[in-house]
Amino acid sequence: METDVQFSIELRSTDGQFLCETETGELDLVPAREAAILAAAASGGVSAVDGTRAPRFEVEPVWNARYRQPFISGFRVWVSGADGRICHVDFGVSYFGTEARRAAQGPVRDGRLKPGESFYYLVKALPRDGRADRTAPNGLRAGTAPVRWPLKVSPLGPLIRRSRPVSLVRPGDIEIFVHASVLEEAVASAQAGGELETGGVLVGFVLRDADTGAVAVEVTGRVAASGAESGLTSLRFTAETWVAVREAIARRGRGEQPVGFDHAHMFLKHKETDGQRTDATAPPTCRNAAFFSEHDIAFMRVAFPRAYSVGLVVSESPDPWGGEEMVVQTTLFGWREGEIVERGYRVVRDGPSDDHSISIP
Amino acid sequence: MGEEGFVTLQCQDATGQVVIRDALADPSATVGELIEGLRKAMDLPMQDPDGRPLSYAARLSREGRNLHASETVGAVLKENDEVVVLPNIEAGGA
Repeated sequence: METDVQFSIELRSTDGQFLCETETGELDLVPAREAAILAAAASGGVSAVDGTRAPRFEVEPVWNARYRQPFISGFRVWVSGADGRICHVDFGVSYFGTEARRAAQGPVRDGRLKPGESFYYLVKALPRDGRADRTAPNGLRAGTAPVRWPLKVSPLGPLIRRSRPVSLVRPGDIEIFVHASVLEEAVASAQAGGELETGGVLVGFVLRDADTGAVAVEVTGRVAASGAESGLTSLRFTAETWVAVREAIARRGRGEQPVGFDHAHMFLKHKETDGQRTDATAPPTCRNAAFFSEHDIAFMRVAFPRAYSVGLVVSESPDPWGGEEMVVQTTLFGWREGEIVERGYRVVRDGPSDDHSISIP
Repeated sequence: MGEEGFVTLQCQDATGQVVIRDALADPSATVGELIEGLRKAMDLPMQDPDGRPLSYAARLSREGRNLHASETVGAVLKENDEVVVLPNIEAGGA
């Protein structure tokens, strides 16, 4: 993402000693950009996501009152369309937490930090020296990058009436509707896979209520990741996996687009060996498989960077109340302000619908 | 042939969420260089969380095949071909 500002992270020990600093300009602002696009769409700026033109972005540092320039306490991303600025989203320095933790691996390796030891990080904002050269080696010129969401104009009322909430939707989050058949299929796939991770791509639409302007995601189907390489704690999508998924989506012929992925965390599943129940391969401290790992987050970043995208985890974990049976959970994760967090969603009862919707061509 | 001898391509990522229209590719570039250029243009990460390089393939929709990194743009791509950048990437519970 091109900006006039570039950031770096400075790590310090708890007694204020300098530990290291990341390379300036290497920090990932794409999730912040996507969050700003979502905010623009949710505030009525459909031109930002209708594919007509590439929206423009500006990044403004918010200077740290205590440590002063060039240190920041946050930053603001502005989205502009054809008619000027649409909206902005503010981010705190917690946005860079994951990269700070990654940068701390250096001091841990050379002994300046002990594993698990606390540290501080400060974020600097510095002017970029000229525009980044977007001409790659051998002269590939990146054309235009319009943002085109799979938008469908549809009233949300009928979907809300046909659905029930599974967990709380935080104010400010967009609604996510998942059809019951999608969850059933994901659970069946996970259970059929035994202890191995299975998964698929979720398809659907991004909805916009023409009356209220509200934006939501409707997950209408699932395409199994045929050919993905399954392990106990890993699921690898190869180029061939994506080809098969794309062809399967095209065969559905419903105009759906990929809006996320699902995968299974079954590594806590008890095994039956010679009539004896034994724990599956997992650290003894891991008692809940309903989480999104760093690799899962990276997967979302690579394949589903749009802020409306979701990740479903089907897991079996020991009953937290001590029951004999394992508990099957379907936990949804998604982007919020540039980070992946657990998200509330609604399960839609499958059957004839009474909504009247049109797709934006 | 498009502008100044470049080949105009229509490109997208694996899920179609990211689209690059009218990318101009140097016909003397290799497919490997093209993939790297598209990776940057699409803001796709270079590494996984463990610091290992991520690999990407380029699929030519017209022929329904993955291009070889050593092929050259001018030899295998035509004006307005669609190229899809496909990552080899792992989700994981660990």
